[in-house]
Amino acid sequence: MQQYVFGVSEFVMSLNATLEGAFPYVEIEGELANFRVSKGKWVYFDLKDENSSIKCFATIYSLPGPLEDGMVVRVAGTPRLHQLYNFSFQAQSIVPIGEGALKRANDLLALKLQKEGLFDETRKRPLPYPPRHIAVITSAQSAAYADFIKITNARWQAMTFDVYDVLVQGMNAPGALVGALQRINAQPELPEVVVMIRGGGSPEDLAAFSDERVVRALSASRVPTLVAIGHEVDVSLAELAADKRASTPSNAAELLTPDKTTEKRHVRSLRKALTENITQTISTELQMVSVLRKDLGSARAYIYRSAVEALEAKTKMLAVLDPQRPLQQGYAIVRDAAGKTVLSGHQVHSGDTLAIQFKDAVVQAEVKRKGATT
Amino acid sequence: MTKTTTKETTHKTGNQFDYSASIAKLEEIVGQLESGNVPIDQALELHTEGQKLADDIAAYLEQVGLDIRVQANKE
Repeated sequence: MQQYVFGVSEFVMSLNATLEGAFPYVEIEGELANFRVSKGKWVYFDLKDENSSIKCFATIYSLPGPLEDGMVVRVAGTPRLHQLYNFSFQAQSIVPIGEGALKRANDLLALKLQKEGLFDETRKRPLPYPPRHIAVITSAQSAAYADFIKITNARWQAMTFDVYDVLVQGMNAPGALVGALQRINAQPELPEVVVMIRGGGSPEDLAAFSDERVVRALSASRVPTLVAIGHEVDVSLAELAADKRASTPSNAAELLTPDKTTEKRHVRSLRKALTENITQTISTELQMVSVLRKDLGSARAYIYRSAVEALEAKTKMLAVLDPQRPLQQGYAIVRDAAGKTVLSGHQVHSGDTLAIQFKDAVVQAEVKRKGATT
Repeated sequence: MTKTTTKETTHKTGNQFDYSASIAKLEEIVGQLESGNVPIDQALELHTEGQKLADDIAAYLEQVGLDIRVQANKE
């Protein structure tokens, strides 16, 4: 039997077909080495353990954030023999594994995004309060979502929920979260808030919420965002990039909505204040009218009194000026023949007839002689 | 996309009501009346407007509990 002889390209194709059949999707854990990014787009690295090392290739879009040599990562993808560059593992996703690697990856990404300003307070938008239409990105089967709905329902129900039920952990979670954010932002009728929630878990479980793609998609959201991941002590980068962070999903419900019971009490107190204030205003107005009425009475009395006093004064003045008054005291009025009052001796001449008026009679007298005034 | 609708008509009415704006307006009216600087005729108008707002808000708070519409989107 004659041995089949492959051409080189034919053998590469055949081997790739075999590899694809045997390993259509495989996850490998190992330590990163020789990690480098080329032209801002291609990623090359070695994945190794104590005894072996394989070359890997990925695009920048499959990275969860900045990585560096020495990190332990889990790589998902397919093995492939390249026509020119030999064997490489084509990674579709890469996630740091282990607390140390995760923390280091988080720190590197946090530093990078912070420098870009993604966590700046100035970027934070206020959330509408209370919102009427919200989108919730979560695992709809999770206890976290159940808590969120339960507490929201107990507080404030006048809302429309669009629930995006997605993977919230694992290698495919970042893509699912980003996809949901993009779908929400493409809606013709945008919700007022996007709420992203997940319950507690290990650092690996929560890793998707510190994935660079997720953090950037949140930052780019046209709709304001509220993120609550894990427990209070867990702070994901998604929470730092969100417009508002809630410590837990339950807390997210509390931040998002007022408590109806409290609101009812508030409205009652406002209604009471309305009544009290208008009563006070009317009472003040009545008091003012009463004071004015009193003032009016006082003014009328004053005017009357003043008029009486003025009249009395004039009457007294009249009495003083009464020409009869000097006659009563013994004085007399002298008039000439024409009846004109004689005020000076110069008006009188010898032989003039004068009329002298006393208090009780008028006497006709003739001037005998005119002497000088003493 | 899965949509679950409950009492849509009532909900639309509820959903168009701007709760925060209404509360803010009511608080403003109370503040104006509390200032004591409002003439009596204007105070009476404000009181009428405030009572109407308080009625609307109270009615809204009573009815919202029954007007839940949940839109669940599943991948």
